[in-house]
Amino acid sequence: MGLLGHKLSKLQMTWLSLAFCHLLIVCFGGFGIPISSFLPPPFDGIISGYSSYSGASAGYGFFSPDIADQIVARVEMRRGDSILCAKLFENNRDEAETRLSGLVMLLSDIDRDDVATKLIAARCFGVVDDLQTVKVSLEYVIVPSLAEYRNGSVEHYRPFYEAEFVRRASQ
Amino acid sequence: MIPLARIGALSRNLLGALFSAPESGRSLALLRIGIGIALLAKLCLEFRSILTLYGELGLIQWEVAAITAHDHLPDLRLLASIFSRFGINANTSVYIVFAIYAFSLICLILGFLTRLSAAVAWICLLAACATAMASAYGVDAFGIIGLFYCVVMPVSSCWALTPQRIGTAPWATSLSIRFVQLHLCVVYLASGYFKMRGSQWWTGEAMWRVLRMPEFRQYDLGWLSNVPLVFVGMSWFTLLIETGYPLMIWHRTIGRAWFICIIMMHAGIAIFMGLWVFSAAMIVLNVSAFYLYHFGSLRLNRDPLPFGRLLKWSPGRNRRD
Repeated sequence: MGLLGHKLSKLQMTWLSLAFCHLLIVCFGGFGIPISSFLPPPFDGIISGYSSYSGASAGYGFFSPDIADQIVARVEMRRGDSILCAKLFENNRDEAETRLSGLVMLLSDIDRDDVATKLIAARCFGVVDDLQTVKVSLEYVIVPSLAEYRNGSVEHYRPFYEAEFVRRASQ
Repeated sequence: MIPLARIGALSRNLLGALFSAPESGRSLALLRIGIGIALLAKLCLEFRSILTLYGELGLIQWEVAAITAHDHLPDLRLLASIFSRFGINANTSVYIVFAIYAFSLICLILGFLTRLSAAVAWICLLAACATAMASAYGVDAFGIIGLFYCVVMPVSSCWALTPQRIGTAPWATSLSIRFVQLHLCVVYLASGYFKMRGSQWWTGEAMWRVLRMPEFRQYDLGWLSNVPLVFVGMSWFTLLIETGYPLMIWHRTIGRAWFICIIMMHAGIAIFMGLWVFSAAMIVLNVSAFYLYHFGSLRLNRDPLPFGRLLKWSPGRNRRD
């Protein structure tokens, strides 16, 4: 079989065609263009499924276009007369916390801070025994600009969502 | 020569380079081993929190995850339902899936039944990501891409316990490496393009913010605020290195410098932001795609530009490693 003057076997032609299609999906995915939305059924489903399996439609906009404010969660857990306090996501030192922090950011982006606080509170109730209440406060970490920092400003926290959860008395 | 004829000649040479420019199977072996090690390291780091992240009653319960999961992907709930037929509960199923995943990654690194190992690891990672889709990030995406390439590409023609015999023709190796290279070019071009759309990357504030945020801060670099040009320089360096990558990485001399710069950038991300696994995965991809291209001894020509090489391409220069 000839292509642009080269003799290619059917196998080579097949692989070249598949590789080209794959690269096309990678390009569309990389630049955030949903290729499957331009295709009629059943091709949209096929391409969408293939993209999910191969990772070809992954986006690569890491830390862009701008760096959003980091979110931390301040948690107050009441057990009897004592109050346990913790601040989550401030220093993500392990993979799990990095992932959870990303999840909270994602939920906040879609205005579902209520779900984020519920997840954190449920986790606290699950991990610490005999808790009566869990108060979760989501806060932005405000990083001063370079000029502000030179003029003496430092990082500070700005609460934007707070919720308190109470364990129901067992029946 | 009329432009059409020139375009035709360039296309022919490009096609020839895709199939016949000799490439070493060692590049793909590096991809296989590197991706395997990076994913195994990530699994070790996550091991303590597996049930929190992926368990039936983890941060996002399976019932909820199933609503947002992609229809096409297998998830842990599906695998657990298979195990439940043997009387195994959901949490134990999660541990079994991750044990299989770890074992298949080790087999992949050693090159033992490579395609099968890669396929098993790939399915396990897909299931884990589908279950924890909302908290998945860059490493997971590159893990899926890397394992998919390990399934379809001849990644075990060397440095393997059971070397692959089928599908290791030189053209298959060349085409595979070329596509890993082109994929990386798309990654960096897209990443650079999206950064360029933000104002913070032009003023240096992006780099300052990243290094000051408690989430990523490893060292206190506040004293550098008196030299804002450092942050402007670092931001512009990132923009330049990423957007220029698809063009410059192919050049023989400049490409070497670009390769070193991109490795340094990822090393910097690891050291100053603490994103070790992500950086390791990106370094692995870069090394497997371009290390031998620039520093290996198997290159046959010394043309300064790839397009110069394409123009001089002739059939029959192909050879096995």
